[in-house]
Amino acid sequence: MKRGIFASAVRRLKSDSGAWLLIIPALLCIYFSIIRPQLLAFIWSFCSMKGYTITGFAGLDNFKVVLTDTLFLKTFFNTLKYVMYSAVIGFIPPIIVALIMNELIHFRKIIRVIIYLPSIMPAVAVSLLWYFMYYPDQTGLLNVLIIKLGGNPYTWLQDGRFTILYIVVSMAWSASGATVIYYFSALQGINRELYEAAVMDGAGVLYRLRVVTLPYMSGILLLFFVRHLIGVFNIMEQPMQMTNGGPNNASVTLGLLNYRYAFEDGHPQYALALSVIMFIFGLIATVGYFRLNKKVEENR
Amino acid sequence: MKKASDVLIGRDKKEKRKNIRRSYLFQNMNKGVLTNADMKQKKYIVFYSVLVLIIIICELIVLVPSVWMILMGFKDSSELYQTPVTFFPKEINLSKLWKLWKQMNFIKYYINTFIMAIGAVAVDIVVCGFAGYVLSRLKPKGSGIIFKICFWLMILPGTGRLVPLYKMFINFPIGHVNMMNTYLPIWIMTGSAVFDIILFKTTFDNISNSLIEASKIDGASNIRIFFQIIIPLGMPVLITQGIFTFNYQFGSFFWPMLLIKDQSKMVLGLQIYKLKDSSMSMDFRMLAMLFSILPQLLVFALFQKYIMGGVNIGGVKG
Repeated sequence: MKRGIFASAVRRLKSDSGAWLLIIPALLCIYFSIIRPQLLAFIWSFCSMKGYTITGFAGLDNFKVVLTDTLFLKTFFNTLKYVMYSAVIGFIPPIIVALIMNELIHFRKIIRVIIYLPSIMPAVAVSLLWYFMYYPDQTGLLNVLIIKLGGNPYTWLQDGRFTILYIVVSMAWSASGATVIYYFSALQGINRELYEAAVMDGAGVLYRLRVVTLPYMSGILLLFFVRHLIGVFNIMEQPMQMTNGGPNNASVTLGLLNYRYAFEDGHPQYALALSVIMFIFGLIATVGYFRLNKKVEENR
Repeated sequence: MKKASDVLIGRDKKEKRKNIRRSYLFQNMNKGVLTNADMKQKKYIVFYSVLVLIIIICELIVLVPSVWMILMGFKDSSELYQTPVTFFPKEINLSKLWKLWKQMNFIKYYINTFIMAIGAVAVDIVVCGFAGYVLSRLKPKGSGIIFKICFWLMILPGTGRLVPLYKMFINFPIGHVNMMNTYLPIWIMTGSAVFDIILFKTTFDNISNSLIEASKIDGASNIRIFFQIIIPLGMPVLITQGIFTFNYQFGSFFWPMLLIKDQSKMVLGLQIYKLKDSSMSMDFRMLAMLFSILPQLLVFALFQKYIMGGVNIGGVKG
């Protein structure tokens, strides 16, 4: 009997071998660039390191150093600010634009093409473009506009109170186009008969949005929202390119701090500890997502 | 005399004409929440105009910075600092482009970046495409768990893996290869694009089974089915995702910054970043940035139809 099971397993594996062969490259890539480094990051965060070589076990020392770093709290709140600003500026406008684009019947094509245009610009180019737009002298576009309206040039990114807001605006500008296209094609997938049925029942526009559109879109919106939150919580490139964390560390993020530990200060073990802390936040958001997603699926 | 004609045509007729014009303007409101019946009411026409206005403002917000970048590029350096400030340049001198092209040696960066980006696209289509195909069609035992894991990994952030990844790329566990100054790390990381795997899987799920069954009866192998049936039928999504990968990698900056130190392997994204602190005059910096988006613009113009068709991932489920 046992041999029978074994033989059938072998047979099964043999017949599946073609399939496994095809998926192995992807599994190897995922193992080497996601799973293995993630596990190593956990283990190494408890080790002391010299340069990039491990010298011994350090217990929780790395975590202690990171959590008591004078910059940590400031950076943490900065990062939360990024997340909050971009939940408003980065997440909501694409939804509204996609909803409107879904209604319009004139010049649909050209509107879509223009909205999408910033998405083909590389993130570096966008950061630089906005850096030049925020340029504090009269060559910056925003200052040109202010001068035209009769005001005085403003320092923009150098104004530490709002630096984060300005960076978030540039991020929203570059990322919204592609998101709008995703939402738009999801909206196009809604069955027209549902709307017509709602009209028969005498539903107004807002009611139709709530009863037909919202339930249909809630799954994709939730997915994009969580991805957005986690993505922004981990940003590093944009602040690095635009202000390098300045002025006076007003725009440093956890991601940037992580990078500095790892590649500028030469303390990769602190970077690892910090990344584990960040990972825990990511995990909380992920678990939250799956909880909420279950509810959404049930309501559908 | 005008009044008389009004009377002659009559209120009814005038109203009718207006209605005809309206119904012509709003011929098929069959895309969104609004329906043809709504557009007969005046309040919805006002509502519609407000929507149009909002969209126009959005388009301006999108367009103005890009246009400004190009206009700045063609201004003379002295023109940039004159008062009063101007928006449009006095003359557009196209020879500036050529001068910059030669001065910055763009051709080298273009070739390097193309190799990196096209390689990434190939990896994305073949590696992730195969994975999507296996998860969607072949479904060996255990593929369900792999799909679940992919879904989890898609949401996990990548920052935490920075140091181990860096260490791995300068000393790869298999054969102790140093991948510094190669594009291999980029390609390996592209192969692990779980989002794309999930997207391809859901796309292939929607391909009708009968074609595949028919060719299976004809004795076609899995690889042949993939290239002859799955790829052609999944083309719109494959092309769109391929272009997203291309655009992303064409401007990729972070990993090249860490891993590519050799000047002869330098890519465009890094070169653009260096503009920020370069001693070049502002107009040339703007034109250089223009060079960093020309290939993407070209690709976009060629495949615009596919991208705008969009990728419907509304049906993605865990």
